[in-house]
Amino acid sequence: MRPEMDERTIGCDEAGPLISIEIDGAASEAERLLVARHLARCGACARMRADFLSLGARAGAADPFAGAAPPPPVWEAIDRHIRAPLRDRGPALEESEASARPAGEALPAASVPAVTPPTPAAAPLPAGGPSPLLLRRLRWAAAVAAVAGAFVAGRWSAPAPSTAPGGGPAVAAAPAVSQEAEDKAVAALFGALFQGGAGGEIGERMREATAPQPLQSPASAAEEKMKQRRY
Amino acid sequence: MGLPAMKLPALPDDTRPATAAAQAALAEEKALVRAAAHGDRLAFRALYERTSAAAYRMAARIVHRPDAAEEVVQEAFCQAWAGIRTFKGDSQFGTWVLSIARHVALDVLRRARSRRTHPSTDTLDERPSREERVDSRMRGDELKAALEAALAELPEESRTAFQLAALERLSYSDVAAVLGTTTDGIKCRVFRVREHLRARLSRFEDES
Repeated sequence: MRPEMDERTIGCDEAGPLISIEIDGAASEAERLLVARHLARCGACARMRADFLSLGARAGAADPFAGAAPPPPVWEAIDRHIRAPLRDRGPALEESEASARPAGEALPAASVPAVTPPTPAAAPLPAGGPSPLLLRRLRWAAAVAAVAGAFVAGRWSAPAPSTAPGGGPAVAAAPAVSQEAEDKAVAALFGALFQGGAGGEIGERMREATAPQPLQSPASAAEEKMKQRRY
Repeated sequence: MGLPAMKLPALPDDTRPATAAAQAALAEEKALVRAAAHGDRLAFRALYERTSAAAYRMAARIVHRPDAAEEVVQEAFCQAWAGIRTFKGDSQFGTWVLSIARHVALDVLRRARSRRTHPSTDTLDERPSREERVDSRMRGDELKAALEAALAELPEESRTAFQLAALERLSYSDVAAVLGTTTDGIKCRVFRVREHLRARLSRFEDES
């Protein structure tokens, strides 16, 4: 304690707040000494302190919720909430964090919230395959490449327009050549993208994806979209 | 002539260094928070057991209805579970939850006030209803009624600060964390509440 604190005294204005602080147990030793010294010579502040103490006791006695606690159903409701499948509702155990946790703090399996894995909308890819986003981009790239390849191949390899014996235009051969060229273009594209490994399988899937789809009514297309969004 | 020197009773002093037991409890709480942040429901339940009663009492004093206080506690702990990974541990878990519960309780009050324009029996008031106060008087508990009325005259923040400090025995720094203000502000508020109650209840002090 500083020496000047030994001699210092306070007036009633300063003593009031300090008395309140002292009653709440938040006063330092120096403040307690100041209060005690002031109360020793000030009857009004001594009465105020007694009143404050009495008020606190009476407020506690009159408190209708003193000692109350929430009943068990409250925790049961919270527990139901946190056990529910987590859709960004609570903490989920991430693999990276779980592995970062010290071995001594390993969690029992039952204590880990069950996270329902999202149901994939399409057939699952082999492990280590491209992500759905990459797959979608590749489909676009394949479609563009196929169109461009078909266009170029059609110009270079299609037979020159001839006239049928009947005088009508010979249109049957040209699309067949273009389809073949398109297939070659797609195969070449995926051969280049996936050299070995999953290239063949994914290329096959790309061709299926870029193949012409049967026409859907707007209603069934919307339904399909909703179905996919639900997952 | 001055009064004889008064020896002040020993009171808990939150300026003293924390005891070993308090430090151990704090470390245990931190471990529970870490486990709960990793999805451990048992750890979260342990945190609930430690802190829910104070949250419930504070909520009940704000909304004045036990069933509404239960809803407040439920909502506050669901929010705590959802946000526990973002809890940085700057404050104690208990004061963090109390802070959430206070905001939820005030929100419940606000919604009840907005519903008051419609005829409904399911309304909450910031202060006890007139009927409750009359009943209280009829029971002969005048002091209790006067105390409730005097507390109801105060702003919510001052009332909650007093109740947390004087009734729940929270430290000023914890009360400040719950109310989102400074420790000095809490010291001042609690003193003003005591002065207000003393003035309002002076006749009871004279009788005693």
